[in-house]
Amino acid sequence: MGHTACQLAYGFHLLGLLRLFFCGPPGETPVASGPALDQRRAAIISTAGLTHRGDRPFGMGAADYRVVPTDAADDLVITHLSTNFDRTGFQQDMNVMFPLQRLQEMANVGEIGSVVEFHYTFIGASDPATMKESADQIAGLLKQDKVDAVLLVPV
Amino acid sequence: MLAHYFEAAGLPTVCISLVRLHSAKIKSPRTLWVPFELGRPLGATGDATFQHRALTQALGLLERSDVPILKDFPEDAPVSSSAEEEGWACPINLPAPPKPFDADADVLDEIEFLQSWHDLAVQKRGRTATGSAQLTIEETVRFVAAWARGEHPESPFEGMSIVDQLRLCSEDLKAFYAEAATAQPGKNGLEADSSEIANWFWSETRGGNLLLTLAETCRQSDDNMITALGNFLLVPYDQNHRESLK
Repeated sequence: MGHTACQLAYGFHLLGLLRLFFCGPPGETPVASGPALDQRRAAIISTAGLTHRGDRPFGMGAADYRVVPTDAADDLVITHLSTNFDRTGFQQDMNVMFPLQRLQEMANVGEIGSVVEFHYTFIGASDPATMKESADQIAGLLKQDKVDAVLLVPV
Repeated sequence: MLAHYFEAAGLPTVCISLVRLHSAKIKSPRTLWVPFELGRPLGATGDATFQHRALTQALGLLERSDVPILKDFPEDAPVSSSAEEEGWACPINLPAPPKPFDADADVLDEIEFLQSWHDLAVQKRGRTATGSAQLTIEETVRFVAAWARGEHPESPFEGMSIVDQLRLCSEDLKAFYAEAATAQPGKNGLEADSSEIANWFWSETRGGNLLLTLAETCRQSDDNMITALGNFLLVPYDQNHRESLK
């Protein structure tokens, strides 16, 4: 992305965040229901800017996402822009930021029903309005996967 | 807002939140605010029991429909024993940076010194968080050192901007050092907390000195994006008071 485009993207990103913070979300809070927790199928949505090693890094204002298959979760790196959050926790224990093993343990003992094979990651530092298209795509994928428990984990 | 999008599509959601003020404003359907530091939404590393407690409280909100819900997790993250005792001391004795500072040679010497510790960390954990810049650690050091000297080598990857290449190199370098330093407990048997690791890296290592030098060089650039890189994306705010050793 050229430098002028980067600057424009960053400006719109800030405007989007400011609009959300001062005006709040548009409309009422939606609600969806599901079965008892021990029958639910869970997926993780991370906004920590996690990507696979070798994958395209997240950039400034990115509104796209990455897919994290369960069997590739050990190969994640952080490509988030901010340098102002701790990364040493993730380096020592992936679950402190991407609690996949914890969810799998909960499924193994019957506290939740199951865990999906595919999870998704964003970089959270983008204008939320620009992320809707990606969110809609993922929603379709999660429904196909019979997910009824979406765990959103920040950074 | 992602929770709003998913919930509106018929998918029940629960968020973990590290910034309560944001969550109170955004009014996602179900949110568990946790009093943990940024970067550690499940609170404690290596503590499956604690992480499980936080997850149980978060997922438990899914069975409620009286949205929006904002619940506070009642526990603080377990404090590293070093915070209550004399403090963590890095188990690796690094020689002090020589003067004048030769970015390439001095940092590569230090990397070589740390390599066996980094190998140990990877062996113990079965993974590493380095490699986001898609370079070896030696290539990372050489690329960063060239920019710190005021040279302008191109990004080795077509389509990746210099800003992205340099910031990812910076994070990979920090990750290498942190993984090496935490491969075993500190000299006094204590585990480090995140601030102790950061202070050690930025004040006692040649790698930290290299990144401080890079930031100083970038801030003097005529290119606004490079300047912004130097000002905001290389050195954390709580380390911005440090100056490089020449």
